[in-house]
Amino acid sequence: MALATLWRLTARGPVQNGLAPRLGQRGVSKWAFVGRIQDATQPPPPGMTVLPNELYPYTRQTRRCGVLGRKAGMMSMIDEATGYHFGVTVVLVERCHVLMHIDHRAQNTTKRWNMQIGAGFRRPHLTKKPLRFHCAKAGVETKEKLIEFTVSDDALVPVGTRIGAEHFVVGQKVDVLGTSKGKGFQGVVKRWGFSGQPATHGSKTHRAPGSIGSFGRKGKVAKGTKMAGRMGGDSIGVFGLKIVRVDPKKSVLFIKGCIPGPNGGWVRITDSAKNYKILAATGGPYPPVPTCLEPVEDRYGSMYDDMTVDPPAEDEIALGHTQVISGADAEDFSNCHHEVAFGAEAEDMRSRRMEYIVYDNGQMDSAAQEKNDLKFQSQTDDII
Amino acid sequence: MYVILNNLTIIANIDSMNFSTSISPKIIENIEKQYAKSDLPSLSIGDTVKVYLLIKEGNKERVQVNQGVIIAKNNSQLTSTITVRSNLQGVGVERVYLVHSPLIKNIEVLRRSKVRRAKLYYLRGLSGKATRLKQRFN
Repeated sequence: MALATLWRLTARGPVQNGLAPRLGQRGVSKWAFVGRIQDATQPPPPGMTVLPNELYPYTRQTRRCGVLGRKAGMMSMIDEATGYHFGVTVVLVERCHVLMHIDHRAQNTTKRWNMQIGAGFRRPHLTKKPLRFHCAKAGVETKEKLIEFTVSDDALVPVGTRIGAEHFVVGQKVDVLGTSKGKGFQGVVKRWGFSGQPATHGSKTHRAPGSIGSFGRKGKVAKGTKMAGRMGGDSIGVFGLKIVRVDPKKSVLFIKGCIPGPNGGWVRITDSAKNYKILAATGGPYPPVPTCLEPVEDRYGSMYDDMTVDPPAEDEIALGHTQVISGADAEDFSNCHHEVAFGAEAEDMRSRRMEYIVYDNGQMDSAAQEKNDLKFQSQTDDII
Repeated sequence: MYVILNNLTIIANIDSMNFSTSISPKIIENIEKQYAKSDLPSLSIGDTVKVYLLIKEGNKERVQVNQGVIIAKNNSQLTSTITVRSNLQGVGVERVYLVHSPLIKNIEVLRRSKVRRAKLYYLRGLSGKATRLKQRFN
């Protein structure tokens, strides 16, 4: 509220509602985060609160959100029709959920909403509290990575929705951004492709850069001259890669071609800008806008089909390897690692091969509930 | 540390080491099993082999048979290959086949040979009776 009053007191006169002040202007801090302040005259788009019943049409102006995945490796596939043999990268779409909508309509030139997506899983006891509560507010498990996508109004998805591999469609093209493998400090021949000097015939240097300038260039070395240095570890984009196969149950994408980064590295996958033209010409299946409305329950990116897990038997419970705690008794969790699961994820965790403690919140009596509320009241106030 | 929201089940793990999905080479192996053929005969170097290839010409499909000797084999799960050498009208022809390709309908082993090499590239410099290989019966 204080920030809003300051806007009106600037030396240049009153500021209109809806226009963000220039940061650094008198009375406005340079570090003020103005992105969240919403324009009260415009209502939020409908896609923010509820998914539509039918998919919206895919137009030239549509801009969907993307997905964060992890590169699992490469394999080869053979096209049955032609016998053509090509390489394919396998990308695991690991636990992507929508966490937040950010209003950048006043800031960026495209005047659009941004959607923040969280991916991966990080053990809660290793995550910092602000991130834990940020994820809990969206109703999801603690995430490892957060990224933003600029999104058009018809591609907005409500907070907490899962975005899986079915978000993409076979035959469409994607852009992939990843961090390339680090090569360390490398010389000029490997880093920039210089040819070096001869190996024999009296030459004393072999892999040196040679000349780095001439007297005519003001007697100094120009900025940006290619030299030896650290190579790799950059954000590299590969554009226009085709999706060959989508496996929604295991949340896996098969992308034709190569992708930057090592196996296990994070990659950011978005629709390619070439899609509309290509798909309009072929009449091929368009990607679902805002997202696939029939989400497939997967094991959150678990690839191991043979790893079927049974819940612990009654003998194990009696031996004390697992404990079942219910009601108000389960207050002392100091000895345990804690994972937080919500809804369907809880059912999934029960079936894994792990020792666990089950604490069923539904049976809590009112006194214990009040005690719990008081315990966390001060913490929940911070995020609101 | 745990968070309680309305009527949600909370599960606390003691052993959280097995929880995160790790990217291992087993992922690719498990996927490749879907595409790999399970009914292949055992192929070894020196085998005389008939390869039944599916050839598509427009809408028509026909099966072409190539017979020859396996002179090289490369084991790499889905992209395993064999190199088959044959003599067509006085011209030596070698062809590399992807063994798990859907275009290979069948591979039939006619004769096995006793060879003391992993690769029989020396046959390229020989012709006629010198290219005969001793038969193996086991």
